[in-house]
Amino acid sequence: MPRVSLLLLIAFAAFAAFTLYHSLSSTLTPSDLMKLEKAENVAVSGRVENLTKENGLTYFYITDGNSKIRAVYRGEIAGEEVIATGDWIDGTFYAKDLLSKCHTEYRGD
Amino acid sequence: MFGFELLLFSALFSALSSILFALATRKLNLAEFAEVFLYASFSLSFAAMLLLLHYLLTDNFSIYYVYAYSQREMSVEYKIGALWAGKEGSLLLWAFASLLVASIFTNYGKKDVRKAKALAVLTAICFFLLLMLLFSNPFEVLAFKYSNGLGMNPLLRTPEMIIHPPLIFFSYALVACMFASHLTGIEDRNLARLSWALMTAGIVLGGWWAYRTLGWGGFWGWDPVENSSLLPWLSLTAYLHARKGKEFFAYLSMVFVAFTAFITRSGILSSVHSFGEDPMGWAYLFLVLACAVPLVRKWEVEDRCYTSLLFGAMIVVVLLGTVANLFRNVDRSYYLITFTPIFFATAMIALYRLRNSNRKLIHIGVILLFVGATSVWFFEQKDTVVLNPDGKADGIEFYLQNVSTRWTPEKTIVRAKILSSLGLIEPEIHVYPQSTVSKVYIIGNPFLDYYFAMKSAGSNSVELEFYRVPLISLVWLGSALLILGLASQKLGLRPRK
Repeated sequence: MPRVSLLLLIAFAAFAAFTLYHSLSSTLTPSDLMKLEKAENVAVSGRVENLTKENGLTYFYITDGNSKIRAVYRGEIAGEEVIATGDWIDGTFYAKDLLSKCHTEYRGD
Repeated sequence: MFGFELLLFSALFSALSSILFALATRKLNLAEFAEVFLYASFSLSFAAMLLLLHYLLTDNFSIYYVYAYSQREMSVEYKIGALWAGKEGSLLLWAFASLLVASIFTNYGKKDVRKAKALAVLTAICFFLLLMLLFSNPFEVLAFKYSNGLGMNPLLRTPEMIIHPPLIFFSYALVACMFASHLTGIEDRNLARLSWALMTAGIVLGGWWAYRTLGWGGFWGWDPVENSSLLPWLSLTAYLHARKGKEFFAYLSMVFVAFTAFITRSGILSSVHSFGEDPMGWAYLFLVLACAVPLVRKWEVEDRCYTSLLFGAMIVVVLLGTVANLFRNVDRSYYLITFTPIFFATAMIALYRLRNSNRKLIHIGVILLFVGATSVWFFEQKDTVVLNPDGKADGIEFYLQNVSTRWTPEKTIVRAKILSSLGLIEPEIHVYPQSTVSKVYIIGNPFLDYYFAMKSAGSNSVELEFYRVPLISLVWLGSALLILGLASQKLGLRPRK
């Protein structure tokens, strides 16, 4: 590749890295959330447990192996591992959006 | 279990084949024995696959794999799909595909020293996969026999599950073949074309599947697994455009295939910590590094239309994002900001050079794909509406006619029949013993898809989530042209220059 192209590529890579740095966020774990009194518009990732449904709402627990938090979501939940975005208020996580991860890797055994 | 012995000897014969092919570079008639061991290895792997399929089709739940991924009530097609639903089964499919490609490659062209060298490398890769299989045994037996299995993940119980994995793994086997042959100076463009065709079809089908599955992020979710599968595709495309130094992209494609395997199989996606504990993860990392060795030298790449720069930039963007995603959440906006400009530049160059192009169809496809994809990424809209039993949103009127329930041995199907100003909408929720899946209903026209999912259903009310997805038809049309364009070229229908 001619030198100009290589320089362009490197410059672009720098731009990408800079943009990436500003697009990163941590998903919290249930353990993280339990340390907070309140959190708004955060993302929590973990395993879904104990699903029950009532009136169109799905009540469940999200766990990271160490802590379990109560959560509620308006809709259906497919999959075991999710990233839920929402608010943590008074010991319950009110999920507004759910992304299920279970297609992205094979189940371990 | 008998299946394990099949795999053990398949692995052994692959190893012997590799050694003999390597020795054949001094004494060519050893290659004949190497060939026999290769065919033996292939036959045993094929037999192992058939055996596992047999266990699945006969509901033999004493085998752990069958218990974990199948159940009595599943239809035959999904029991076949279950063959590659778990990591052991998909690894077996990959090994089988690689051995098949190696066996055919042996008889394709001259059988000389260079071919023997290439096969030594290719069979070594096959051996690596089979070795991993021995530690990831699909024929593991359970201590006691369950009467029914857990069943395949309901999200995977769709027709795409039957076709998508074979397409992808065969394309990866061909990439390995390209890698091995370039190492010894054998260059056959047809290997690249076939691999590219299968990979494109596989990725597009994956995108179609993801689009129709709620929760998978639309036709391209920018998640680590999707992204890592895009990397070998970008590299292969760069290969097809390179004039000089194309071996670089052949080697890079293989590195990315190994990288994809690493991402999906090492456990690193669950957490970085689980990766550290699992020795298999290190094995796949080793494969990545081993395949990267040929990259380490001074390269002079000559390409057409700045393609190496463009695809190189796309690779950098996707690779950075994917690696970062292993440690942190990466916001979609990163990809939209960095990937779109390069995609735009690529589409513009394709348009500009269209008149002189020998591959008009493919490049029209690229342009359409760009227009469709960016339209969806930037202008998709989401809304929710509650129907009890009627509702209105965004200028559309809905009326819930009824909610019906149907039982099958496999699942319970809840279906809503909704009349609307757009037409009839019938989304469903499928309830399985272990989870629930939303079956979306799409009303599409060339300009816009209306995408409906039932969030919840009562006896006389329903909550609908709906998306307006503009110009998604161009994504499918563009993708179809990519594949058709290559096919028409191979059939000799391309215009004479």
